[in-house]
Amino acid sequence: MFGLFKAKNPFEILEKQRKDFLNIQLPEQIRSSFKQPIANKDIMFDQLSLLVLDFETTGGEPSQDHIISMGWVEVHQKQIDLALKKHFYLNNSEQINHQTAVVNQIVPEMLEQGSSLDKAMTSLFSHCQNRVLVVHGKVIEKGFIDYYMQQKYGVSELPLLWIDTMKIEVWLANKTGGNTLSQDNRLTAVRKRYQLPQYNAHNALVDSLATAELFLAQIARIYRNKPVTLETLYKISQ
Amino acid sequence: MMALCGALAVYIKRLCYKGFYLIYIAGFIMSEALIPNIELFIANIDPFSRLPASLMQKVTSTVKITYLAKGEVIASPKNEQDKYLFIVKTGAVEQRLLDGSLRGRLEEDDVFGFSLFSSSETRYQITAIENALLYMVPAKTIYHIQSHYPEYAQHFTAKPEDRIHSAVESTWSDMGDSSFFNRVSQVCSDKFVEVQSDTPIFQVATRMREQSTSCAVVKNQGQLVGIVTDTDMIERVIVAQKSTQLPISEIMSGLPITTTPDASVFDAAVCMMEKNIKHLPILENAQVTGLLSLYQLFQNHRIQAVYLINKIKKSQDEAELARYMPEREQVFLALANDKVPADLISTLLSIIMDTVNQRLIEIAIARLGAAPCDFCWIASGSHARKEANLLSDQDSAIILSDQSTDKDKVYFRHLAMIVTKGMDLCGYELCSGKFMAVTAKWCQPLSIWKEYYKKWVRSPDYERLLNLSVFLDTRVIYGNQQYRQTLVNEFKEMTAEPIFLSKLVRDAVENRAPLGIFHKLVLTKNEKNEKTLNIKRYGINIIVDLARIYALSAKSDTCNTSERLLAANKAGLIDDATLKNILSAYNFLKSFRFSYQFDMLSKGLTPSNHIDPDYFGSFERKHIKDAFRLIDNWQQFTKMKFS
Repeated sequence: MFGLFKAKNPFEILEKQRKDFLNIQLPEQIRSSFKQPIANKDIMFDQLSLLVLDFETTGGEPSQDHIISMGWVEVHQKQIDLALKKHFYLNNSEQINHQTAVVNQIVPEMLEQGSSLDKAMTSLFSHCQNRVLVVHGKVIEKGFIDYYMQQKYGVSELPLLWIDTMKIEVWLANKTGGNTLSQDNRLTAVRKRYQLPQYNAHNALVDSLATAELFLAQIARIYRNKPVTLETLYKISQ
Repeated sequence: MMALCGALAVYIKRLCYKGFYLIYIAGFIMSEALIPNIELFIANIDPFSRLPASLMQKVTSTVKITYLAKGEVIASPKNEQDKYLFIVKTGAVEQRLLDGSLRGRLEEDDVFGFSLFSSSETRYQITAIENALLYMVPAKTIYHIQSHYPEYAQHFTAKPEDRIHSAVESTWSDMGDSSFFNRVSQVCSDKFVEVQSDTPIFQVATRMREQSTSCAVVKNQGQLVGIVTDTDMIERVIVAQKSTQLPISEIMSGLPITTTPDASVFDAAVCMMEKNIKHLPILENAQVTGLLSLYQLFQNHRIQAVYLINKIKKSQDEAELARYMPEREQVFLALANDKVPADLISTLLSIIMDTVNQRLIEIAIARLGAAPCDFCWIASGSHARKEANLLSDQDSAIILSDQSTDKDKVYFRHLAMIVTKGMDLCGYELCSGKFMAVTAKWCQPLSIWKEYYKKWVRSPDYERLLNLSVFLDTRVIYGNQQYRQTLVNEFKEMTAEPIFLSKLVRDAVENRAPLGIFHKLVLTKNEKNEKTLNIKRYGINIIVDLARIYALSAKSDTCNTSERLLAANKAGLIDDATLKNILSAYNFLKSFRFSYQFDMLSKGLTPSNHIDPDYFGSFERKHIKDAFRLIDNWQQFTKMKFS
């Protein structure tokens, strides 16, 4: 499978996936969010528009677990813009293990006032237009999004461009001859390595912001202030 | 398999956070702060720390965050949208002016970019000297605060002088009714009764009792002729066993010292301290319209200063004086703790020093017999300028009558010895430069002093310049006032000559104010960092020296630095804006020094002028930088003006 991807430019593959995707019968609201072509592989990092995303979930298995909250911030031209942030609590409370909600310090009232999964996902898709997605450990976010699309519309995978900051750490460790297995690549540990401030409070939004800062710091460390293209970023983050 | 590992890792990542949650959540979720980390951080950074929580939330929601790699440059803003106020979250950046000279280095918690908002913007380039995470508050947000919340506007102004002014105001002046910057008329009058001079003592006492006041003013034919306090009633009536049937004029204090409604509270307080009185009638068109008492102005323990002055005046010998001196430190601690303005603290410390000095001269005269000829005792240096602090040493001199003989000089050497030793015993260290009356050179007849000044003014080489700068600040502590005045008048024209002044300026611009604090070091102009900040040498003294030059140019007699600046402003040598800037910077540095010395004393340490950079919080770092910048600009301007 890996060989197949290598043979073809992933951007071309994705572009084709997107064309196929647009032929599927979907609500126009979702469909229209994917009409724009995906970002050009030659675009420079400092010109990129990113959507940095984080989900809080009850567990790691999309078929059994639920999304509790989702948060994101946008990054334009290397600047994280707090004016362009979003945070949803999801009101699937009846299914939520009470224990988890307590651990997450989410009180039942908040969940009641929360949004429906459909509403949150639709909002997320519309914000994905012209944005490259950035997450720390894409398995969760991508897993839950794909599972949602599968359940709801029978679509297996959304044609989105993902950058995974956790994968960048693995790439960096490989490149510098570090120990890829014992290295702690959890967000807090990685941020510590980059001497980024310790954020003591956590929620989906704060973690998305923490990921955004980490991504900027990673690129600054790897490429100093030399120009770097999206294609390169994509390669090191898979 | 890989995917599973990844999923597991991500999930573990989430679980590990949970431990931290408990501490924070409740408060933040309630206040709906979605990004508490950033909000909390910015809310602790001056000037944002002054904003209410609701406004802080709005500010935070407009913030942008960027990360600079080492060596990366921030382009100077091309339009309004590119203008930001920057807060350094981690790492460090450097500002360089277009000629390449260093403007400042900024590290964690530092704020910069204010000047980008001003029309006369200072052009500089920002380069990351370490990888740096920066929070950026858009200009639009700053403008919004300025226009919608005028009460906070001055903290966000582009002008360092305005920022430092508001910093001084917000930390150091007591804003209450007794604020020392108010007019006397703005302070509530203390209660008092008005009686006629022929009223029997017991009737006056009864009325004071009825009104529950401790003071009565005495009038005769509509004129204020005296004042009586409850202490007088005890001391002069009960203790002296006088009849209470006698008229009050028998025991009143005649010719009372008064003030006017438009006098400043500061001056009124100083007047009471100097004259050792506790009540000051307010006179308006010959009518007593109110009464100011020290108890009102110095609540609680501040009144200690008055008792100390009283005790000093009644001391019998050096040993008794020295016993009281630890109270001087207590007085200082109480004043500094109450954030009394620095000017008032140093004035009070100067009055205490004056009183000790005068009392010692009296003690010496009592021991040696009456002075054989006319003389005056001069204080010089900070004591003369009424700018004493706890570290002030003795600078003194004696001017003798020209009729004095060699034998008389022996008498005065003895007198000077007693006084100097006594001062030393009281904690006023001997002057390391030996500028003391006890040195034969500085105990001379008027004619010799005239020769000294002539020589110094004509060809001021290094040593002469040093002598001169010490003796250009003089004040008579005891004896014939005329001698000092004669010297001042005689050289007034010569010391206002541009050629002479340019020499003083050359000396005064040798020390330059540092750029700020960076990485626990003091960042200097020549980029050679220092371990501690000598706030006296590189801050306060620069202002003192320049103020002296301007005052000489304006031919003003006054010695006090603030008064000198005001005099120079009146003479048109310093414009209003510069006056305000320099006074703000001066007050800030003096207040800062006092609060540093206060903290040192509170910790049981010996206070000094050398401040450890660790001592600086974000607030002080920011404002001291502003103060230094103002001083430096003024210094460079003065250099041009007088050369």
